[in-house]
Amino acid sequence: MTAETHPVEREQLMAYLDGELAANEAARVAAHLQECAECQRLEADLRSVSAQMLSWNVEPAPAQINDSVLAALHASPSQQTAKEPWNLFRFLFQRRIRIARWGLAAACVGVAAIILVKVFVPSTTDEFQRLQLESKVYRAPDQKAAVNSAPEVTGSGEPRREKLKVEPSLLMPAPATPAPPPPPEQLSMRSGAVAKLSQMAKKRADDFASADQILLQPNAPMIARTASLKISAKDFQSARAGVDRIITSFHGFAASMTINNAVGEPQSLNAELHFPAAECNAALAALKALGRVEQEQQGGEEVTAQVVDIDARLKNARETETRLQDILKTRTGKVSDVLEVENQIAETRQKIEQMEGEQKALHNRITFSAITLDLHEEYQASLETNAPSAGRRIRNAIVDGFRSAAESSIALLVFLLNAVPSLLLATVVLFWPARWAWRKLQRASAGNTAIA
Amino acid sequence: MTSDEQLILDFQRGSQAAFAELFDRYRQPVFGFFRRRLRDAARAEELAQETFLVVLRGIERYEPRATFRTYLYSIAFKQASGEYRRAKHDPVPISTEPVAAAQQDSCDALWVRRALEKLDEQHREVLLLREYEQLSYDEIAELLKIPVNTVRSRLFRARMELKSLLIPEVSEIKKVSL
Repeated sequence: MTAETHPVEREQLMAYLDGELAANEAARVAAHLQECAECQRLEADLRSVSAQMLSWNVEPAPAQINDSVLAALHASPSQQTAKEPWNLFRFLFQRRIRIARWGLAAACVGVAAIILVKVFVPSTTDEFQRLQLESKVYRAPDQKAAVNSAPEVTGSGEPRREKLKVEPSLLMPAPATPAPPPPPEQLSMRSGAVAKLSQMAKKRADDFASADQILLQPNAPMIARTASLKISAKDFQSARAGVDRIITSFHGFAASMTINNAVGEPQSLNAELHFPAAECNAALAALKALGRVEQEQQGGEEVTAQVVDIDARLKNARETETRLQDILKTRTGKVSDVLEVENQIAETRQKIEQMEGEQKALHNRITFSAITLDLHEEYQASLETNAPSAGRRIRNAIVDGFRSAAESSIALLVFLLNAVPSLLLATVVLFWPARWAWRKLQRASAGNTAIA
Repeated sequence: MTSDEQLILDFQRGSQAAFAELFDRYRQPVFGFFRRRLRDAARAEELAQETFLVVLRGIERYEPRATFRTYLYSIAFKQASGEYRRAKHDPVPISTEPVAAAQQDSCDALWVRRALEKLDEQHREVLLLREYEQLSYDEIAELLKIPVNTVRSRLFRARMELKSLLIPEVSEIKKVSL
């Protein structure tokens, strides 16, 4: 029976018998069935199969189903909501519990996030306070004293190492400011050369009012000078005092200074010094006189083009700002136009301030030459034996042992504090899937046993 | 007579009697659904019970997108599929109790059961849903997530196959009885 030879397909006939055809289609198949013997045989077969299948009846459902389902029905919140206000409350409370589970999970995530942020990201408030403190230190009235004062000695068990960081812009002295006279006891220099050079520099410093005025003359090449010196001195303490005196005498400042007084090692001083360009040569000569020069390097970068360029850009920006302000004062227009002009003024002002900062930094590089100084003591073999006694060593070992135990305990505690929120979170997230999987596993094993 | 859909909506609004009515209507069909698919009568009972409990527990989430009958049998079908997976080492999930235990069945019923066991699993499922659960083609398609045309073709093949399996058996039985 094919579609070509037969107008009704067999599956169509079956659908007709099952009542699955639309009315018009069913009428067409019914009409065909009246005439077609082949379709009548198929109809009989299909009806026979259905009739035989219906002979398989199952036993009545056990009463236990009724009991358990109806018991669950009595306990179901849905049917209780319509009865009593108390039940309604219980129903809502149970819903709340579901919401609370999610809320609890979200809270755990939040707490974990806060702990992680607290542990790994430094507090912005602390950072702000630290910056404020540093700012106060840098702005102390006796700024030069901060540089020249004796450095603090750190922990007794470690090499004495110090580092003084000084912000150049804050510690930059006025060129005309007279230097305070050095204490007489510090004048015990290796030779009188430094004192002589200092006097020469003082005299020269009176010749100009400002280093800027000399160095930034038009058409003069503008050089940012740098130099580095490596000096070994026999008497380190006097050489170090000499460095302080040179800084004061030549109106310079120390951007950074590190002194190493470790026991058993030659003392050394590393510093980055800045001197007015006009006094750079004199200062270099004075520094060389502190000891034997092992290495010297000098360099200069011409920054004339950069200075001219930034001056021109700054001038143009200022003119633009003036013109825009004139427009704002004299012209009238729409509010949007006024706002646009104001925006442009703000942008121009921002550019001007940025360029002024660059200009100032450039001028500082020109007016102040940078000298990197590496001063160290000549090596002297010492017969002193500083090895600690056996008792001291045992005591140190005990103290170190207790300290390391305490540090290990703290590290363990910190690790636990870090890990516990994550573990809690993982427990909250994985508890329900694990419980579901466990129950399913149990049910599977029970089912297999029952089927087997 | 109130429709199934109306009853389930009434139950959502808190009517205990509505669910009792639905339970009364479908208790035996759902038990029969599992009983015809599983060997173990106790397990069939448990799964029928679990099906109604799932309806009870999920009543808040019920949405009248399909007929209640489809919804109920889809739950039952999922339960049965889970049971098949758990018992996948058993190649014949259809109830095949020993003849002694099924002596209460008529000879025809016994041969029907044995013939059904021999059918392809997909064909058998469509046939069972149509003949015993009385689902329409659309409902079967929705439940099994297959096109309606596929339901029709599978059903036809299943019936033809079952006919060829049953006719010799029945004739043989008749010969024996004669």
